[in-house]
Amino acid sequence: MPKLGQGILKGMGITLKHLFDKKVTRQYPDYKRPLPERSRGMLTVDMDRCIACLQCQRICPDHCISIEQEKRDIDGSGKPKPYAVGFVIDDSRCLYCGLCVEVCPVNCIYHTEEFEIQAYNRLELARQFGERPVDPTIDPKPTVKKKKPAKTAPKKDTTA
Amino acid sequence: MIREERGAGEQTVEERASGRLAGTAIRDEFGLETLDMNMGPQHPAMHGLLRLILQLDGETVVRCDPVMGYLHRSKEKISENRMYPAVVPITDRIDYMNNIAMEYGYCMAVEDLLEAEIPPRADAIRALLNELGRIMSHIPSIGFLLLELGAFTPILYAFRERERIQDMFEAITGARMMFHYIRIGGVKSDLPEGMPERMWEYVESLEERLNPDFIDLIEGNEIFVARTRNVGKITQEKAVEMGLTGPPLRCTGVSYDVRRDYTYGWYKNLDFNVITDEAGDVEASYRVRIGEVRESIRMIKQILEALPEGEVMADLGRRIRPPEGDGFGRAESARGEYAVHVVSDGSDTPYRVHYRTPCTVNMQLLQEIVPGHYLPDIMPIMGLIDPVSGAWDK
Repeated sequence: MPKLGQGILKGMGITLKHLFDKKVTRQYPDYKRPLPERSRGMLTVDMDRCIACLQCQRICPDHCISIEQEKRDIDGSGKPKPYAVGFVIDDSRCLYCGLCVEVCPVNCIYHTEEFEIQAYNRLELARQFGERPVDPTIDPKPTVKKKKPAKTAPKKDTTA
Repeated sequence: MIREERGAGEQTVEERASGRLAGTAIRDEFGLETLDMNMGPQHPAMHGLLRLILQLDGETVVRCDPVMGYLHRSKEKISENRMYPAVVPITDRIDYMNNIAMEYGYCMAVEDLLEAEIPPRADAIRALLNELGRIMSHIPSIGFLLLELGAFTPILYAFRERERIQDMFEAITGARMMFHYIRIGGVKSDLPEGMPERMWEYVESLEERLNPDFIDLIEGNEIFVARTRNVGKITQEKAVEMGLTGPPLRCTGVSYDVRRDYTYGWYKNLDFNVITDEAGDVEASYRVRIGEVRESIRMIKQILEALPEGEVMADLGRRIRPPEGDGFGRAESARGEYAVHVVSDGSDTPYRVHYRTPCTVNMQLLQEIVPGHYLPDIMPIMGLIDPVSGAWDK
């Protein structure tokens, strides 16, 4: 057991020493530190580049991306190509995992540095990128194939 | 309001949890009066959402029943409905103080299923971040322990350290807490340029700061000693019997560490000690944690000195579809042994995922060792266990 009072004096000494140190706190709303390059903020979509391949919609674990696809002759070649008329990202569901960014073949969906999102209404968080709104509350079709009923139950290791 | 129907000892936990008797005095068969009291689920000092039903005899706790489940988010069921790679962000949210170990365990389980070979650089980066994550979890947990004892300064120093590590993690992974960095088959991307040097510089400076800012400030303090020595005493036999892992087990003198005993990844190339302490009380658990921070610093230096070059991701194909069977992965998280059991039926999604989190098991301690202690000793005992709400409820 240390002597009474000694530890407190020592502690106060350490505290006093730190009083003259450089401050480590940042005054957040006034000062915003620069974010690193890899920082994952809110998602945004460059609609000019989007080829409506629906890969981001399929991979999204929380179904926060809803895309309405239409065949449209964009470049005037007479050959209709898939075109995203409606593109909605529901930020109230997004978990910022970045899977959609990794899967995009044309890099049209990417993270911004924006991370302050707030709204009074949940629907305000559904941001529209396409021409037409898509109801984000409707889940897209289940993309995961339903499991066939297993004929034999998978082996379970009872020793584990 | 005195009830004389039954002795408090005869009530089941469910009856007590129903809240019927909360706040009421109970008289037992000898005519002694005890008081039932709720602590939590929203308690300023509690490590998350936990409700303790306490039976008090004056200031002494006679019985303590933890009620869990306030943060249950059915992680295991959600995992069954997602494709294998999409489960990784879910595991991040289990133990939100030490996320990287949670990702690591799950990825190891799936890799066991796939029998995948992980590139050595990916293994080294995983171990590196795992140790950094351990420091990031242990130092604030020491700070929380002190905060609950009434000392406000250590938590500020602890969060200063955590903040710096989080900044590094953000530069590496892109997020401050929910990293989603360890992937099935490796890691998401290589370390950014200059990061090994930055990390080296940081751990050096942390080593220098550890003594004045934590050890001198805490260990020599007589209030800390008075509040923690011989509080929450666990015997070795009891700890083993209850299946404790992590610092609560090691502080009783049992030398068990998954990193050494069931070595995985890059840990087989590292030279490290498993920190143990004999006392088995709150003070001993603090010493174990500080010792582990030192060991982690040593390990980080060893990894950085011999960081292998090469790929960081094994080629497992575009779609991960493991064969039928089951995979098992275990990792040493900051709180103890974390294990994941994945059963596959050959489809895109797991058939069953089970997470064995150390917090759920270590929480049994509350029922065992709190009775007999004073009411204010509960918080130091929580600091000994250091549970995380997300991990015990899953």
